[in-house]
Amino acid sequence: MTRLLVVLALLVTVGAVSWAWRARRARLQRVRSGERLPPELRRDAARTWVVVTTPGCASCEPAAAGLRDLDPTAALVPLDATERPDLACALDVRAAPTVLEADADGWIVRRLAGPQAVMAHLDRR
Amino acid sequence: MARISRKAELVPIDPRGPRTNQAFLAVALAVAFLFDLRPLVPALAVLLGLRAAFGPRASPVIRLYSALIRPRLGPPSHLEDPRPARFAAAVGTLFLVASSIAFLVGAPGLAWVLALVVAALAALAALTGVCVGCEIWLLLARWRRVELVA
Repeated sequence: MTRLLVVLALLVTVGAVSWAWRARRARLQRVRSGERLPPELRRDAARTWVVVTTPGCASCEPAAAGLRDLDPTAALVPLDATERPDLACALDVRAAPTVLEADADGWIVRRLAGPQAVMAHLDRR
Repeated sequence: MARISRKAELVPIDPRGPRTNQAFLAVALAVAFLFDLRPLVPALAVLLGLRAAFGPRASPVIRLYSALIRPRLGPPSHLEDPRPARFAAAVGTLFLVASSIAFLVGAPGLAWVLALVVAALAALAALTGVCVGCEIWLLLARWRRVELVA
C-alpha cells in the first residue's frame, strides 16, 4: 500500500511538473496583443524577422538561414541578447533563438521561442 | 573502425525513439518498485548501459519502436543530436548501477530512491521532452563550444 502511494505521489509530481512546463512553453509562444517592435528594430519591409541570439547558441544560425530561405523578401534583423539585454528584456525573450515576426508596421504577429518552436515552424512550411 | 562509429553516432535521430525508451524505463521501474522486483533494476541497468555504450541501435526498445511503431507514425517534426540522449542514458545507467550495488550491500531504501529518481526523470522526459541529462550535456557542450548536428 505504501509503495502504491509512493508511485502515485511520484506520478502526481511528474504530472504537475509536466503541466507547469507545458504552460510555460505555451506562454513563451503567445503574442501579447498590441506588442510592437521598438523603432530601432523595424525595417521597411512587408515582413520582418527579428532573430534573438546568444554567442553560444548552436541552433541560431541554422534558424536564421531557414528563415532566409522561407522568405527571401523579408527583412532579417539579428539581435544579440548579450549586447542588448535591454531590448531582449523589453521583448520578454527567455530562450535562444527567439524569433519575432512583425508586419510592415512593426506589430508582432508571431513569436517562436526556442529552437524546437523555430524548427517546427520551418518544417510546417 | 572507431572513425566509422563516431560518424554513425553523429547522425541526427528521431527523438521519439529515446522517448519510447524513457517511457518503458519509467513504467518498468515503477512496476519493479510496486512489486519489489529487485532483479529488474540491474537488468534495466544493463539495457540502458547497452544503449549508452553502443547507441540507439543497441536498445531493444528503440529497435522495437523503429520496427513496429515508427512505420505507423508520420515523419518526426524535427531531428535531434544523438549525443545528449546518449549522455542521459549513461547518467541513468550510473544511477541504476549504484542502485543495484545498494541492493547488494543491504541498503534497499537508498537503492529504491536512486531507481525512483531515474523513473521520475524518465517519465518527465517521456511526457514533456524535458530531458535533464540532455540539458546537462547541452550545458557542457556550450561550455566546451561543441557544435550540434541537429
